[in-house]
Amino acid sequence: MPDSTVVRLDNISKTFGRGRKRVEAVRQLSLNVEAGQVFGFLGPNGAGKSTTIRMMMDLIRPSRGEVYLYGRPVKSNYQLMRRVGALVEGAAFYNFLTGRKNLEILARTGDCYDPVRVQRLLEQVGMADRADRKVQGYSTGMKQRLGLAAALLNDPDLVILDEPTNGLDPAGIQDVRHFIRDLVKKQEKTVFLSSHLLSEVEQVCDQVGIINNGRLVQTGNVTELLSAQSIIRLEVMPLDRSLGLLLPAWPTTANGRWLEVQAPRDAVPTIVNQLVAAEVQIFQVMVQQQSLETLFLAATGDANA
Amino acid sequence: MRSALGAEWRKLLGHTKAFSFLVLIFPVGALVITLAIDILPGLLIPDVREFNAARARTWTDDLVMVWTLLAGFPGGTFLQMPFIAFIAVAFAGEYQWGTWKNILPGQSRTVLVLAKFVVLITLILLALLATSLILTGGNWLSSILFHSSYGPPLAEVDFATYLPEYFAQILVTFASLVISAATAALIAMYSRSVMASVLLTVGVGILEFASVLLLLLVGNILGRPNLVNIFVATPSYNLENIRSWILEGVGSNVGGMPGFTAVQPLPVSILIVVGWLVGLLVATAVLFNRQDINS
Repeated sequence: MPDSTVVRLDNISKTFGRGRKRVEAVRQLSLNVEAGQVFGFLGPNGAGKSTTIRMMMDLIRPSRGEVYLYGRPVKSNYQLMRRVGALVEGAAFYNFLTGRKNLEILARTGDCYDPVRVQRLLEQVGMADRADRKVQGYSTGMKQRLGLAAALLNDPDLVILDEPTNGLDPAGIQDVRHFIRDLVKKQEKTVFLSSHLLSEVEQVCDQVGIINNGRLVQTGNVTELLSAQSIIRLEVMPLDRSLGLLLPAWPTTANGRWLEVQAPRDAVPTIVNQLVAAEVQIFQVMVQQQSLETLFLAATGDANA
Repeated sequence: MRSALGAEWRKLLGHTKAFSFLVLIFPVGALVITLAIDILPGLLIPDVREFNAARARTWTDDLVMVWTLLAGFPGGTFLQMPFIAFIAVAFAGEYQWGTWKNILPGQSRTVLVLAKFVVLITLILLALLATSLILTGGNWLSSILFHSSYGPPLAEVDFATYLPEYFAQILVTFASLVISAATAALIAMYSRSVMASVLLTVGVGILEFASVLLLLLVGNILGRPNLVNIFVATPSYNLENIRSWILEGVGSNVGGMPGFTAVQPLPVSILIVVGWLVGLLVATAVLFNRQDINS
């Protein structure tokens, strides 16, 4: 395993319950996340995202397989976990304490209390002016912001964020997007991001993994995955002969005067050459890159998501 | 461990409602009782003043009263309920608040359990010491105000006898509290519910003490009266036995319970109590280390 591999999930599975109540939440999941990346972890509700993240945090033990961070197994290794900061499945705090006191207690528990850093983080997430109010009066968005500060208390190398934009308004979502990019670009951290907001993931992530029914169904570089699934639209004549030429090599459909070819962007020259060689007249060529949403729906087989 | 202790200390003191209603209630209650039942009525009502003046009280009894009450049965079991509830809030609360996921990754689970336990026991002990001092101080003040006797004079106290008795009672109560606390912690970690922890811990306490009667009954039905000797394995018997050895110089025969012959030597009882305590704490730590945190 290369030194740059921060996260390695080695064929992990997790089963809850027994007998008729048995639920296999994660099945034989393997993936690697390299240092300095923002890894997007996508999946529909109940796909196994949070269970996977909890296994990465050693909150849940895999039924089979092993989770490695920085090349070492996470099981009962809290010293290793001090290199990790996380916001797991909605920020939860001691409601009877102030935001600042919550951060102090979390930092003291992890043996990393520094009041100056706490103040700086509160300012960074826009909570400095509300930090001395009890958490019970916070909105969901304020708790999420405090959760982001909590995830960075120990100045971690790996930041795991599970739905960090839940409860945030559009401006807050944009703040989080910049925040995540800054973590990687300015602070050289690695980010593992689980989100439902596919456009956000598309904008901030370098790599993406899609999980469905506990299985990893798609993984790879975001740009490559999206360009690999482009729709190439060609206005050609004659249509029927063109369709016959391309169909053996690529999934192709006719739509009015247009042919729609599902192929990577790189295939455009080959397609055009093939049609020109067959004396087909080409009037227009348009490449329509798939969105992550289309890719996600195709991977999860959920047209209604 | 030190930083974990500091974090727990701040967290539990910060839960002002739970801390006030379940721990501070003892010293505050002692203060209110002293003022509202003794001093204020004495100052306002002549008959009460006369009654107070005629009372002969001893600070030696007052100092030990709280500890004696808490170790008794069944009153002690119910008096311990607020403390048991506080322990349940501290352990089961983390599940209900969903906060284990924040603190677990950065610290050993065993250290977290021990830190919670040590801080809880320290707070409870301090509250009881304060209660004991407030009751004694209140009665002393009352004796000055109403010119009643409050003996014995220091010069007449046989400290060689009194101090071992005093510390033996504190030790027995402390051991009883620690075992109740460890039971509450274990049940809280298993049930993840504050209410279940309180009810089950009190239930276990009552059942454990009442087991001597059950054993006697079953032994008589089966024609094996010595079955009652199994009671020597319980914390209740051994705590009573330790108290009996230290204060009376003989082991406890459970009030002359028919068929009971297995009076234990003092070191054996101490070992059994320590065994229970260590066993309960180890069980809590093992359970917690194997547990999936889903909340």
